[in-house]
Amino acid sequence: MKKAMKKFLALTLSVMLLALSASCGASETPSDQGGDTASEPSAAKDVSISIMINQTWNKPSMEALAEEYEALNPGVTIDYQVIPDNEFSQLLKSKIASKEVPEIVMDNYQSLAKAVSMADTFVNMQDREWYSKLINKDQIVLDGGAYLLPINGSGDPFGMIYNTEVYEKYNIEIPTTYDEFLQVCETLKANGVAPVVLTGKEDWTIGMWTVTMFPNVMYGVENGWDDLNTGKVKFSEVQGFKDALDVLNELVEKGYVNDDFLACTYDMGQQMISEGQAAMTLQGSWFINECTTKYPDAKFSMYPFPFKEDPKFASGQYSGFHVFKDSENVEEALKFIDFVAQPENMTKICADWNYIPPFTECTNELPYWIEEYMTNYMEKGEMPIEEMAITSAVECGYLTTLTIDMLAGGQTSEDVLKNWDAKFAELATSRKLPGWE
Amino acid sequence: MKQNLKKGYMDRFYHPLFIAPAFIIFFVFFILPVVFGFGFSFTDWNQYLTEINFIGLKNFQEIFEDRVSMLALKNTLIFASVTTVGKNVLGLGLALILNTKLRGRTVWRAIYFCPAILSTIVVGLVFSAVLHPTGLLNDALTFVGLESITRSWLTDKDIVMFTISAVEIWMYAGFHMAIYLAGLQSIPYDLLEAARIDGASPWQQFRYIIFPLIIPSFNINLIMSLIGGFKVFDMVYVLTNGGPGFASQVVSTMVYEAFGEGRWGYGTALNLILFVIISFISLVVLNFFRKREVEY
Repeated sequence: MKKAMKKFLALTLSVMLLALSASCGASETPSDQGGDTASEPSAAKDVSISIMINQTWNKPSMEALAEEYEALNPGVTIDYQVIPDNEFSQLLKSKIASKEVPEIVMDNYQSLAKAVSMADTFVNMQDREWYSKLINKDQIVLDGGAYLLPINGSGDPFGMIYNTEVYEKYNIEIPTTYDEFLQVCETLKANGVAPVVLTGKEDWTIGMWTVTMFPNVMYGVENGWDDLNTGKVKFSEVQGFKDALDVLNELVEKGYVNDDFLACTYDMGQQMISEGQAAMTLQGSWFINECTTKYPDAKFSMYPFPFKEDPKFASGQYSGFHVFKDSENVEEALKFIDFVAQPENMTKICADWNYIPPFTECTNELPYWIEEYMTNYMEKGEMPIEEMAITSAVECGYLTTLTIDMLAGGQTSEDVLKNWDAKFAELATSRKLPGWE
Repeated sequence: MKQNLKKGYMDRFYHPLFIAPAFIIFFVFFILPVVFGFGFSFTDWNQYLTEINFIGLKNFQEIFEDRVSMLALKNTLIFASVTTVGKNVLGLGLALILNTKLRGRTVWRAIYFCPAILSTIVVGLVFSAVLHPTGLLNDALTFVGLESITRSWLTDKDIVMFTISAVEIWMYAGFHMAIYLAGLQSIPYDLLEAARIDGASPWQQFRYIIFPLIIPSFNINLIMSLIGGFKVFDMVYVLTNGGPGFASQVVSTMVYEAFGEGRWGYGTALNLILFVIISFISLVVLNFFRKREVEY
């Protein structure tokens, strides 16, 4: 009897262990099966469309649209491959390199165009029905075509986002010079509030600072970015860039950032600002959107970061859906794109993001912070300038890593610019960009 | 006469013929790609170019001149040596303790072995939270009054590699313990008893009897932990992704980044360097201990 019990226990335990390790193994990597083959277009065979999407981009409207489409088109399944934010771009590049691509990827447009050849990788959307109705149909043409269905009609503003209640509490006015800004930080610090929150665990959030400040430095400089991109001028030769990086160093040195700025995650940062433990951060307007979804009582606004004279908002890229040429079910994927491009469906997506929609027929209401931005800045002629991911000829991820290394004490601001120059040269030469042949 | 000759003739090819199919598959799908890969490390193979040019040792020159690549090599060496020492010392220690007539030792063995079967990603995510400046570890240390030794475990560039090594040791010490246990259990008890009766101290028992007899296990464990240490990727990737900045970059994460940037020739060159280092060290260690294997 005892022996039988022992055997039974051993068997159950080993099966449980197997199931545990199997499920752990399965949850590690997102499934990257492109989809079942279904080459006959007319037959109702099972077609699977995979959409690769960032974790924070996977808004409720996405699931809803997928379900609606599946109901209208039996036999088609839509499979979202949800990837954590900080792994997304590397994973996408490896998939493209190994040619194991999903049908659709949802990503930023201009930075993707730097990393891959759009004409070779994605389907040109210019001959789709909805293309001519886009309000930004001319702005999205690059590399000989328009390779996405954008979900925004104009880019997000990037600037200093702050919790308005915190500012009111300490009678803080919006600073217009750098000295005033430092004064604001001093007031906040004295009252026990972390003035600026840096979420250093997620690289791209530190990158937001450089991609906003560097174009500000170049504003008004004739042929500024052309000279940088062709190598005529080096980043390390521009004093303004060093000053911009030193601004970050100064904020850290003076204790105007949160203590755990290198380990703080994006979610924790949002919580700190929304609950008033921190006052502000440099981000894009989607940040306000996400915070108010999670913390409905928090109130926010934005102003251009006055680290130098005449500061400007930077404006972000277009983002949207790109269809891979080499995927298994291109036709079906394009049909899904056409479905999403219907004004009533696009409205749902834009409402989730609070974006200025790409079609005039979309009816989403714009939130108060975008209305404020449009009233206080855009309608007064204060137009944003393009962020660095758009203006730079190569992707700026490495600059972000160098900046974080600087903040961790690994190098100086001069080193950052010198190393960035070296990397820029490396990438530009190996890709034989103009000026680097 | 003629028939006998024929039979002998075929006999000679009997053995190779049986090995041939498996060997051919192994050769075509493993050996050949690896050799071609090494060939590519001498070219400028790149995602953005349509032709591949031979550039000699330029990739290697770039690697040795690049501060970050050298840091990655240094970090890999640190990681491999620290984890090898940690895993083996801890593994052997646990095996020695759990080989005695301790009550409930099978349960203990299972508990120590458990981490090795978990997914590295899961372990990494959990420890990211535990090692956060305001996470479980620092909170626990403060609670018992040891606030002075709390640190930014994963964001202080001077200790980050050691932190990652510690997590890896936690994960695999039990695994090595299992192998040492197998070795220890093959030692006949009367040898040790005879030594004890002759007045040998526990340390002398270990040094002159136990250790020589478990050298095969030691050999295997050493090789496995060294190779695993040099190849490390997932633990670093999930805990710090090479950060902060470049402080915890290792060779494998650099290869991953190089491939992500489309610089495939460069990435392959880095891999070749890693391969050479691992092969050299493994062969040296293997040989060293093989000569010292003792049988009773």
